[in-house]
Amino acid sequence: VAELLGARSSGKAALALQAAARITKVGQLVAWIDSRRELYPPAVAALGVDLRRLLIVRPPAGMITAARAAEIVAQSRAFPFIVIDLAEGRLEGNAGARLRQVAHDANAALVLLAMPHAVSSIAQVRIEVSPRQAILVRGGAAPAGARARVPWIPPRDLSPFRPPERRVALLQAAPAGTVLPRPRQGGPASPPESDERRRATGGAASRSAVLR
Amino acid sequence: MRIACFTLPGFLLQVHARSAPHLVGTSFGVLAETEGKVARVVACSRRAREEGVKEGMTATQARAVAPRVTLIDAQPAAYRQGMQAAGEALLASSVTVDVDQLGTAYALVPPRASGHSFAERAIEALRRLGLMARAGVADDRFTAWAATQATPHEQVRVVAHGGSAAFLRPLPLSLLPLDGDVRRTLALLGVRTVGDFAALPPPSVGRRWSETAVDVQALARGEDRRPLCAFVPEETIQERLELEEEIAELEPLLFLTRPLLDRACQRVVGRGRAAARVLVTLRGEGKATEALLAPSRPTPSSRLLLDLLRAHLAERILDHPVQALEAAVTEEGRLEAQELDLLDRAAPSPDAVDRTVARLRAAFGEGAAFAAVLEDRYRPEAAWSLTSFDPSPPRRRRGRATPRPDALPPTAPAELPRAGQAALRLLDPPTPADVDGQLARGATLVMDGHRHAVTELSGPSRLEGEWWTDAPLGRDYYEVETEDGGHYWLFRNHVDGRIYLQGIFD
Repeated sequence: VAELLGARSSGKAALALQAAARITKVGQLVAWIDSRRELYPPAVAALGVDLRRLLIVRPPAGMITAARAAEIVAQSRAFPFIVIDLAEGRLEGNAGARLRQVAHDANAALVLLAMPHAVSSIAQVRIEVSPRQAILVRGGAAPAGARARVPWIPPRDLSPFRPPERRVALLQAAPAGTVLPRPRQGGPASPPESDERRRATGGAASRSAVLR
Repeated sequence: MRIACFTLPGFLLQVHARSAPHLVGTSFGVLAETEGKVARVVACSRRAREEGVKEGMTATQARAVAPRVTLIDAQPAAYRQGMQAAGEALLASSVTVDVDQLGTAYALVPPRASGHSFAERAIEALRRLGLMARAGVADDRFTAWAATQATPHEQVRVVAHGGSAAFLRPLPLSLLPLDGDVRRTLALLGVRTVGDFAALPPPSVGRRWSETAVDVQALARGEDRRPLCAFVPEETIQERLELEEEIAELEPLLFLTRPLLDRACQRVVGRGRAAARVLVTLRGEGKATEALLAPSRPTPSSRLLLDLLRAHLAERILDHPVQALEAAVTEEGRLEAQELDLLDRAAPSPDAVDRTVARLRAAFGEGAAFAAVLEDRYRPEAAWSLTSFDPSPPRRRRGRATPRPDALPPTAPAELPRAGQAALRLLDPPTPADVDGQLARGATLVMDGHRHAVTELSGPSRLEGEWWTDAPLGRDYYEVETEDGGHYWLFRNHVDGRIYLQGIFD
């Protein structure tokens, strides 16, 4: 269970859809629990998601119904990737614990999209998404408090009003294994670069690696 | 820096109740010897208190007033394990935990986390371990602790940042760690609240009246500078459950072992580790049966351990009934995340998909689960429609070339997206927005009652059409970025001249 936390326009939906695109491309199914009722299929298709393999579920408003819908989807074991786009609040309590167990039993990855303050206790990986970086706050075997930053291009660069070449790479990251510095106070973090890569690219291409 | 204090009321009683749940709701007390003298009651349950038992009574006195009271000898090792468990539960959500004394623990609230929700999560984690707690969150240790004492009916009490002194002011002087004589003297002088004490001139107060050599007046002013001493769990994790009645059958035994293994796993995960070897001991009639659970790799899963125990016990015949269960994590290992392979899996069963869609529709309505198909329309709201979810590959037609396996699916756009398709969230219908003055950089956008200063603006991009219908389309689209990081897709409607919010880039 991973949660992507971010404010409006942080790019959390684009990040989740980027993963969905990769999964549908190999023929697997993705379910999107659209509690907010705002998912826009033309934009989803533009990101490379195969709409035939994307099940959109719009349950009545409420946290419990969203959890219930995700539980039904996970129980089928046909959807390895399930996204819950939470309108408000956080997923906790019995409903959250049961959903986590069902997702675990089904070997499914569950991704929660939520506002920054709505931290769920069921998530094992927490990523804070902002327009210029995604911060892994907590993940797997990493000790509590460990943080890593992954710079990426936000969806605004997909805008039809921007030059076309900027639309090509949506999600970009530092080379695998790079230790990422903390940002300076009052300013955004500069993208990290490994020495080898900096030499090879003249210091300008750290944003061209695809997230693995 | 914010500090959360967790107090576990009636801690000694809680420790006994979590290992012997049948004590809950009964009349029982804990006996402890003090300084080699006769054992006295140091804690008693509410029922025992109602029957007349009080702290300080000897066992004889307690039984005289309440013949049915159960008196249990104090178990310091169990109390240490209880605090260890509490510390491990808190470590799962905070980097610094201080297990201060029996029944009290402190944790550093993670930066950017809400104090209230952090405390609620921690209380829930403690509850899963069988411990009930109250929490107080404040800028310093003492105020956080006082918050748990001031309002015992509230599970979580958060003192606002910078509000420690004001919060402490009306609280009774008894909260401060002062000697009884000093407190009585102060009461004679009319000093009755923490605020009264804080207002005394420092030279007349003296700085070290308490036994712990703490500057008590600094505590009263909300300036407790004592740091948290990091708790490092070292003792072997042990959990114990005493049964009210003896059990000899396998299934009830496994049913009761589950919460025991849950607790052990929760604690080991709190340490950031996983269980490599777990020794389960079943005791009864003076005999003990041991089962060593050794998963192939260290695991945080109590379910796996339970399956191993089931397999272990299914091959044995217990020669004694079971009265007590014990689980000890004798060896810990690295907690390694198991990575799922999302991309290389067997094709999903069409029947399973059909059943799922049917269940979703039955639960939430016919239109609740669907797939989307793109429509060749310029109006953004009409550029897609619902269709039934059928992920099976389209049938090939005779005489047509076989599509390449890596070809884009038919629904994916072959061209770059049309205007607006990058707005991942579309509001349907568009919601009206107001602009102070002209829509330009520096203008203020009012949406849903919130004001947003425009920092970037591009457009207009005109969209016109459907002039042959009753509702012709005429819109000038703008892409707007606001000071608070918002990125919106707006349009000015030619029909009524108003600005509408069409979508949000996310």
